[in-house]
Amino acid sequence: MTSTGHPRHLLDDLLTHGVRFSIVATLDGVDRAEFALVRDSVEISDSVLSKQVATLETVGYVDVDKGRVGRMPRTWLRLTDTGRAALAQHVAALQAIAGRSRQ
Amino acid sequence: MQTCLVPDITREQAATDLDNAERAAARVQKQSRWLAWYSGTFAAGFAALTLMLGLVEPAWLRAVMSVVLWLPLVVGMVLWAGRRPTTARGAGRRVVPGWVGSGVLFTVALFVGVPTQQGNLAYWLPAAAVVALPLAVVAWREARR
Repeated sequence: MTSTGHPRHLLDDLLTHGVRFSIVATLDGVDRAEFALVRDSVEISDSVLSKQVATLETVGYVDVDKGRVGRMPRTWLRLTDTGRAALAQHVAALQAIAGRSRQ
Repeated sequence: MQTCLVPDITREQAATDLDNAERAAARVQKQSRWLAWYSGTFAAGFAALTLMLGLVEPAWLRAVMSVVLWLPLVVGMVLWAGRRPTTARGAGRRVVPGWVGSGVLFTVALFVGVPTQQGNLAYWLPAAAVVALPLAVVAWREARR
């Protein structure tokens, strides 16, 4: 990796997938979020979210907790510190490519 | 961090990715603002409880009314909070000072007021406002996030 050259070199190749990027971005501002909320916010199906979360969990970007609220089973998603760092770098690279100033 | 072999990405594609992610994140953030209602409701509950304990006579009615107010409020809010689909990042850290503040002020207000100010509106009205203030500030801050 180099800090010079085109900012695309700083992109995280896992997060260049738009759905994965959106999933990680939705988790950035919260401690954790329910599976169903992330699914509805990113506007994808259960199966697509499950598949992408499994990928993100494998590389350590997302933690998955399963539990119950009353008698209802719930799945919670949480962004890890590794995921948060990857997201920050990816967003910075996208902003540089898009010609936007960092917020 | 995996940063090699990424496809070329245009300025427009980068902007679209950022906008899509921002929109999705905003939907989740919106659902995390419940803490403002939660803190505001407890601020109002603390104020009402303070007034009740200071103004209602006789003592047995005061005790009954306090339990009738506080118990369903706590149970209802805890159950409601447990069902929220998300929590804002760092919420616990921001809320604890409000709870500690209102709790301490509530204790002090009762400690000072119950022995000497029972039924005195001029004492209990400002006391209720002061007790509610820390949680009300938390509610206001969470609503502005």
